[in-house]
Amino acid sequence: MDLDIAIETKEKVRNPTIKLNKKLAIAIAALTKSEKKPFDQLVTQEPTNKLIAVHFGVGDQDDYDTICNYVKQFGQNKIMIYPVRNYAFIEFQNIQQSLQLTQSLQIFENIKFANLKYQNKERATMFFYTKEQELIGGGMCDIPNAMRQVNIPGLYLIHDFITPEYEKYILDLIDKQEWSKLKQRRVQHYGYEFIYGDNTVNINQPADKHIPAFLEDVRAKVSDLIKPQPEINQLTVNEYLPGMGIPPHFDVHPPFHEKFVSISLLSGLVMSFKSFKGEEYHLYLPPRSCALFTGEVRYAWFHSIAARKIDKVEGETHFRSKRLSLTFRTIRNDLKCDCEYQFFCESQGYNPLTMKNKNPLLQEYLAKLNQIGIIQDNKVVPNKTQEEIQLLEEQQQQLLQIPKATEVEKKYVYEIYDKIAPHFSSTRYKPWPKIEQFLKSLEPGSLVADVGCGNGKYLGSNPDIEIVGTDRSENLLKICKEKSDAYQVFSADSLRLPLKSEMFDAVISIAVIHHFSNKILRQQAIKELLRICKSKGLVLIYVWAMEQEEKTFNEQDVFVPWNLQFKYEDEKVINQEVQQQFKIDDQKKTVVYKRYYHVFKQGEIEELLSEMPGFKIVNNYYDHANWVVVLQKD
Amino acid sequence: MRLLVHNLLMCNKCDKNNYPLKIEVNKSVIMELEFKKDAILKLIPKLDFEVLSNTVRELGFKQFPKQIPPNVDQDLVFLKDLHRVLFETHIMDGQLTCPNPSCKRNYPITNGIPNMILTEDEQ
Repeated sequence: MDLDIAIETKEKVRNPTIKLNKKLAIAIAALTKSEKKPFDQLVTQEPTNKLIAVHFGVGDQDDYDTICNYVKQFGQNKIMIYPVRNYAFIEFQNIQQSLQLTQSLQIFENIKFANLKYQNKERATMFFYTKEQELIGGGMCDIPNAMRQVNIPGLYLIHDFITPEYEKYILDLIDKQEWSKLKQRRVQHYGYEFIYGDNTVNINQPADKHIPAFLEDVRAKVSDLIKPQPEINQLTVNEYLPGMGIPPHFDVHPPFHEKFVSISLLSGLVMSFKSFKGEEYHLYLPPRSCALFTGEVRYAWFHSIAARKIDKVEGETHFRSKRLSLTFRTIRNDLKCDCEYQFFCESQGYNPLTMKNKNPLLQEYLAKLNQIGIIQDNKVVPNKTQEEIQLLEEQQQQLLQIPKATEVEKKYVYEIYDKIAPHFSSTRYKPWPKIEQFLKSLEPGSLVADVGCGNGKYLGSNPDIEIVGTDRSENLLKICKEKSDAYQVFSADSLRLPLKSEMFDAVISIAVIHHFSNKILRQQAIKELLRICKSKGLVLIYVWAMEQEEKTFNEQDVFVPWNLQFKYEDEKVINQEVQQQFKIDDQKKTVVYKRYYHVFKQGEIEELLSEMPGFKIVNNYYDHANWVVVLQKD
Repeated sequence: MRLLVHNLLMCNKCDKNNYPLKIEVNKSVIMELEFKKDAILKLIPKLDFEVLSNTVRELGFKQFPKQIPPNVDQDLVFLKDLHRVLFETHIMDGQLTCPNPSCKRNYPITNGIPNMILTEDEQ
């Protein structure tokens, strides 16, 4: 569909006399462009519990409210509205509910729609079934999904800590006080003078301003909450406008006592938390709630507020508006701190000037915990178990006459992907631009093989090529077929492909070869890619790099944990009836599986290729934490 | 599985006489797809047409030509038939069998997905 029509007719959109099929053309153009997928792949005739609603608006709070009011009569649902986009995503709990909605719609020439009242003006809103789990929505897909409750040690979220009446009362009075203006936002300090930069207070100089009398009730309530800690005697008021945030930090240990609170007023937003071990969580703080920080989260977790105008809360869009936070603290008279988190404690050896990027105290602490050995992208990769070390050594010593999969691949790759397929697939939905570019640069009519196609992420990237996908995991291939019946896939072992030689104009292997545990297997996999490729055809290979964006793996052969949520796991496994070689994390409600990876050093894949004949390397680069090569067969 | 894939698949348990695989169909469906003349013309030279033609005729479409007709780029009837068998015919359930009489390995097709994975002993 031509986008020019959309631009030309944008002015006429609000004209109710415009023909519905012209509106449909606009809708299709917008969706296709924004979701980077053809319309007939985004929508389906078959009823599902998910709908795309094209509302022809700008994706603001009003559009959201109008759709919400209409949709809620059909059942419990989640709505994602996308700013600056004219469509939204609705997910019902079951198909019956979405059927009720579509059955209530008007139909005109196969288009199902409802006339909804947006800001007192009626607009046709079209609904389409979709199988998509999530839409790109101009980047909404990249915003982390926050929960309304999380399990973080020491963190407590108390709802309705303040009544709406009291909130209104104090808001009026706070606004009348004197604000200090920082670079980005406005603040007020009471009790002690705040020294920015050091993020601390000067304990020898109590400010003239005491915590105002009109806040005494809430100050007393918080003091009660934190007993036996001495009374609250410091307050900071922060004003956050949409788009403002605060970078990750932990509140300095001295001169503040252990417990402090953050009370949200006027509106809510998402606060992000990251532990010293690297775990990340996102929590929605509703208005009038009180977040109490104690223990581990207070001393050793970084908290932050992303500088954004919208948040994603349990799969729904949440627009930010003005928010005030009241942070109540107790100042200690000494500069001491007796916490057990010395690695971040200024009174116990932490030096913020020299140790922000490299913290030997933290490394020591982590090593002592005896679970941590290697850090990757702030996700923890534990030390190998005895069993894993033995297995790697054993199969590396074997002289492999016929390159076939070893116990490492079977146990730590093949089996795992079949188990984690739906969960894994839900985290692998965004195609990487350079790979899509490669596929789109091929001549129309090219015959292409995606060896290790996984959930079929790239099978729809270029509708002008014929692409065949293959993978070792039958469960991942099932997900491919669910995405589209038109996808051509078959299961096979990439070490010995059941494909004729020299048939394909191009072959891609994305994040596959790093799963083979020895050099012979990795070379065999590459040999197969080349064999099925035509003369002068191209082969694109992506493998995980040892050198990641922020950190480097310490070793090349690693077992990376995958936390499979209980909802994706077998009941027997959760009940530990079946003997499990993988740990169960009761707190996070996951089973921890391990995937084997051999991460590649810079230059390693080129070295591997130098021992093989029959092609030229025409390009090599680093992309998305992968080393990439493009080969051209002779 | 579409017949395009069948045109590319071989038995990898044995090395000789392993192509093309015989198809046995239990269930097939027709799923319509937009006819694109250029796309199909570009695809023709990449196929083993003899194999495609034999397979199509064995599956019941007896009138399908044994050879690519002359002036194929103008032969819309042929192109539409080819489009039908190559893009719109999906074998959902059945099996593929190796033509080698000393192999005869069966590969099942379930829900449109052929399973070409060999067992431990077969590798």
